[in-house]
Amino acid sequence: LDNAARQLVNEWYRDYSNDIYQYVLFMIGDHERAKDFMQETFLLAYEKYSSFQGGSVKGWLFRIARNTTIDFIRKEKPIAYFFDQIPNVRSDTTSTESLVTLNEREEELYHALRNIKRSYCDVIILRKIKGLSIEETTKILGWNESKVKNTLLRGLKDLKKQLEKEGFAQ
Amino acid sequence: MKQSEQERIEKEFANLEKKLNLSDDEKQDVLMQINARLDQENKPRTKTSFPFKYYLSIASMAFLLIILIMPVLPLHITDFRLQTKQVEQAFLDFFHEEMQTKYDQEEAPPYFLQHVKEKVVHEDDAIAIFVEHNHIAEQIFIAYFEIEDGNWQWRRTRGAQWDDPNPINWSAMHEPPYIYSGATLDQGLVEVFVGDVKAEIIIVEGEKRFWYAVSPKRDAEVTFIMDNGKEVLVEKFNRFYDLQPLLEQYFQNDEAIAEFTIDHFDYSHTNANGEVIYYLSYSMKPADRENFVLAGGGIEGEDGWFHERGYYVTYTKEGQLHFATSP
Repeated sequence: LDNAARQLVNEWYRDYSNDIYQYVLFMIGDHERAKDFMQETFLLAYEKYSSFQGGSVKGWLFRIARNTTIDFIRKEKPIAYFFDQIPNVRSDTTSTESLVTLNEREEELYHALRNIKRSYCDVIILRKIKGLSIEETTKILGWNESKVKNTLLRGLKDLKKQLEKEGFAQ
Repeated sequence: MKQSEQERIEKEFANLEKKLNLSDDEKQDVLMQINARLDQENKPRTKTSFPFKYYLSIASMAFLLIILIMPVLPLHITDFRLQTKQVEQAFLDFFHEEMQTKYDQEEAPPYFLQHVKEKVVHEDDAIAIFVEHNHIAEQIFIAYFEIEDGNWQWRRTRGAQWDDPNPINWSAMHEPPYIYSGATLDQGLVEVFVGDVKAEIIIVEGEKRFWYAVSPKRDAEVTFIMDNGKEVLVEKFNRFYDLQPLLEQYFQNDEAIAEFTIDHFDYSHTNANGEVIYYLSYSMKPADRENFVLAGGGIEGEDGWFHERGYYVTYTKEGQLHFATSP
């Protein structure tokens, strides 16, 4: 069983590591921590392999990644957690922005996403950036369908406001 | 939100997703770390039959000790984790630098680091398994490394490929640690045992798998356990020993050479023509030193022996040996 679980986790890593990394990166905005949490996600997937009840592996991994990230925010950034904000986390190592060449508009969008409520950001990442279905999103967030839809709508409106505030390049 | 505006933002979402990716190297490094941590967690625990009455006193002592060292414990744990991470990173940096050098600074060297395990037989060693897409074929290698004077050293390598026509597609290192390894496409293969040691089997891609085991024995038996429960003892076969007499015969025919010995036998693989290529270094003593002219990259030792390094020997289908400096 150990070997089978391990092989599966390795395959899942190849298929979904980027998705998990991006999700965590948007949630905490720190490249090194995003890598660490991605690693934790796959280690937890191995540990909890026997409790996986089938269905979407991607959704299950997102749920683990989200719990790991939220746990971190709850413990390390309780104020940000309480106010449903995205915490400002920075390690001493290279920041994401310096690793990739984002153009002006992409950078504005990235910052705007990080300046809206965490729950808005959460649902926008899953639905609009990672392209998950409403059903998958409900399972990951533990919300019902209407909450996903309403939060997404409000989130997009808030994002638009943020972008206007930042003078989103035309 | 207006339709066009939303479309524009969604287009930017797609661009962001494309750009905020991990590099292949980083992805590989994290995968190595995950597997290294899983290796640590999976080490078997030994059972002891310790009398229960002693547990209480040991627990009390441990409790007192914890109380005493608690104030400094978090610091030490952090240091240990940091050191472990630094050692892992140092090894990965060393490996990638070596491969980059091998491929002469090519922008994207055609290899993929599949698996790393540290502390294999002692604290300062590691193995790496990597796949290369070179001009011959797709090949998989297992290499053994040790730290010497604080620096990683690449010790030995063995290679295999999945389309090897040889039915006994495995090899072993001939110096300790005796690492046995092989490539397989056979989905019926469930387990491999080298002597009593169960091999680790790694899925490389699709049906391509690779197994390895570290055995205390030099000439251990390799047994394949198939999914029908059948045990297949894979015939003892040793390419090194098969090559030795052929090389002896080769040099016996050369009157200029009085003696020869194989110093180091590295990896072997089978090329597209079904010929086996060996990589080795050897030494020879000339019959007549005064008139002996060495062609190639050898050096003369003080003992009068010439030491050749990094030669490829091809064993052709016709049963002949050919020497070359490249495969």
